[in-house]
Amino acid sequence: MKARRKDKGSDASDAVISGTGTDDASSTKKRVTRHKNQKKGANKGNRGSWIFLGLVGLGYLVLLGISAEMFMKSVQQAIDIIVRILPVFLVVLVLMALSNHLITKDFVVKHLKEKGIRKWLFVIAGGILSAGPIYMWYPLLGDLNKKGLSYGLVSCFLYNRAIKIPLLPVAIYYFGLAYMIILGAVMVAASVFQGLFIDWILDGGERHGSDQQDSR
Amino acid sequence: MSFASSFRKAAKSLWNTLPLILGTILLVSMITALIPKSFYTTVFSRDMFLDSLVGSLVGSISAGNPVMSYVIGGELQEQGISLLAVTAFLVAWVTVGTIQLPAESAILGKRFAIIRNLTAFVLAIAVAFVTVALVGLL
Repeated sequence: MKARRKDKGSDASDAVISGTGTDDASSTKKRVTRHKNQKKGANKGNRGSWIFLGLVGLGYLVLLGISAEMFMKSVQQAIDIIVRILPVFLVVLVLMALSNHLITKDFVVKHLKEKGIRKWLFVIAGGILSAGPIYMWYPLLGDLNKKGLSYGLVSCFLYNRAIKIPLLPVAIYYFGLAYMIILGAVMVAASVFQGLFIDWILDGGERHGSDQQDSR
Repeated sequence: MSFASSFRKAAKSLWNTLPLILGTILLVSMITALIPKSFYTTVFSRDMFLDSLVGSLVGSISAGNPVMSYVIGGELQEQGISLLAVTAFLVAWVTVGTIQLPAESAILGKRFAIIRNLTAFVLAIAVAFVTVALVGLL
């Protein structure tokens, strides 16, 4: 936990790098090194992403060797998904830009670190109303997490994304209105329970700043 | 920070996650194409408690639009699979992201992704029990 708290000062190290700090030369050198290491870590993570995509591509080549029909079916399905989520991608891009512009660390500290149920209600509503595949929201949530949104609230948002209002007519057709209302209510309660549990496990019940790099 | 630079920062962030998102889409598509709907009816034993565990497990490794889970869940129920198992299946389908785990780990942190998915798996069973108990009270 000590190590995680140590990295809270990454903003301060940035300030030193840009020449606004007052620390001595050795301290500045250490912080510059850490800043460089963080950049190296980010590049390594991006390389891992390309390796993952490459492995999936390899899987497709194997599938092509086994069954050209299955290969075509998978590719067609992937194209369908991409076409369907492109508008969502644009929405996410705009929301991320707005988030960068409006949601500063000070804003998060002011609005999301308050005690009470308002922040939970905000996250629950956001999760339910958000559209598109879950992985489309990871970058935005990662960004908000860096700005102070706790892991518990991130998990609460992700859990509530499971409640799909536009798909409710299909679900009601199969399982009935009463069942879906009860299931929805129980899932919202479960999302809060999961969020509190994750906050307790990862953040010790409270947010400790931009420590996500350490948990990766 | 101006909106233009905020937009550039957001675009760069999305661009960095593009291989992960594309890889996940391709993986989800391949698994959805490879696993036939009939697979799901062969893995349930018709034992209520075991089925809820199997329901959560199968839902966890499945991928695709949630509407598919409703259709499959509805079909399973028609074939006599308990509502408990079907509910665990439905909830795990939409809350546990095994396929998306690499993307979630890379962007939100490995420890967070593992704990979130594990708790979502357990909660799928718990949610199923509570929901079925409450529906039974009606």
